[in-house]
Amino acid sequence: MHEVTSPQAFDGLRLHHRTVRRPDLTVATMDHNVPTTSGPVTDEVSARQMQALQRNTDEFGITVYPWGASGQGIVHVIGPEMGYTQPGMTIVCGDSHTSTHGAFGALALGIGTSEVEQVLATQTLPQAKPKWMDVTVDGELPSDCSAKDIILAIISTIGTGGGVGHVM
Amino acid sequence: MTVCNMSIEGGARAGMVAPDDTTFAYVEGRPHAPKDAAWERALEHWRSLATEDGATFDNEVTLDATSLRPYVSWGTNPAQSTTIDGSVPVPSSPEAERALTYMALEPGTPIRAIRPDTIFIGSCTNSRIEDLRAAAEVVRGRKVKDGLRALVVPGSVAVKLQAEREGLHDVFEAAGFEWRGAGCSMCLGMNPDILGPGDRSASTSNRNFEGRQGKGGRTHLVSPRVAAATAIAGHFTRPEDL
Repeated sequence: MHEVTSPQAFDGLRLHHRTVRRPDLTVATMDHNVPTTSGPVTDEVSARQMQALQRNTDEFGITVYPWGASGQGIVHVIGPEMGYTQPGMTIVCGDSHTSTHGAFGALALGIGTSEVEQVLATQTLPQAKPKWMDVTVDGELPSDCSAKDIILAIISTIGTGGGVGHVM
Repeated sequence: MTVCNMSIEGGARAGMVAPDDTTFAYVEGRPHAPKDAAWERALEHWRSLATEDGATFDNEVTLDATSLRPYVSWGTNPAQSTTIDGSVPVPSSPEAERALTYMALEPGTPIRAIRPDTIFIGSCTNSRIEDLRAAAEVVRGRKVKDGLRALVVPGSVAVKLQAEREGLHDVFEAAGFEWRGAGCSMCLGMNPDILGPGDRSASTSNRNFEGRQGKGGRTHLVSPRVAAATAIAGHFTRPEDL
């Protein structure tokens, strides 16, 4: 989890006197709002959200990587790099680009803040069965191309709605 | 990771690649990866996660990798992209027309003639050590075009430290890039790193929606190598053309 889509989820837990079911399977970092300079954090909302994440993770016993600390970074970068992300896992985060972790053969879904609250409380999330889209990239990639060009080519081919309802 | 990261920009609920030996080698030895006997058990399970023979799909797409070219987005969604050799298209829909107006681009303009004023190398799409190495290789011994603002933002503190051990920060700084701390940065306009109104970026991030990188900002999505080469040339280009 990160600082932007988690504060209301924790507020919801407190409101209903619930705890986090599996703090040992939950990890948090600060990424969206943090300055990439030495700071300080001048934006009030950003500062509040960063403080809230620190407070909430302290209260509920969740590992957090605060701004500038060893281990901190973009949630979809630190998950794989620290080995949190593993094949066969089901991974959710309140962020669209959670799909990144699918590169490891994990089912990784971006979810909304109310779903974050549900997962924190129950470690479950009802999901409709998705359709499956098979994407085959055949042959050797030219030396001036990269993964970015593959995915931009796929999206240009299928369109921004081409994958709706599917796991790709 | 870059491919799965942007699978959702094609509307998908998620993206997935079957794990293989490359995946296992990446995971092995990381702080939270299974160890010893647990690693062996995990490997056995993970090897069973490949697509079954005879699996059926609701949809199938095939791309010929050998015919791919470096891509550059021209519009305000990631599907509005063409190759580096292409031109800004004649709009075929009101959405495309609106996109060109927002992007201040004329149909027929060669992609290579478009001149960004900002270069952003970073985001969850392209800020891993491999991305930074690829970009550094391009800028090594060269200079960022005068007047350009160019940022490199490592995806994590660990990536930053690794890059610094490899001397990549020196390569970027000597070329005129700003070397920053870890975060989402200019991908999403939620922190001090933003585009101003009318600013035009070559960005390794994932979304080029109106205002994504800051109100009125114009985003072109590219790979780290193209972003790096564009920083040097001052217009969209490939490293091979420098």
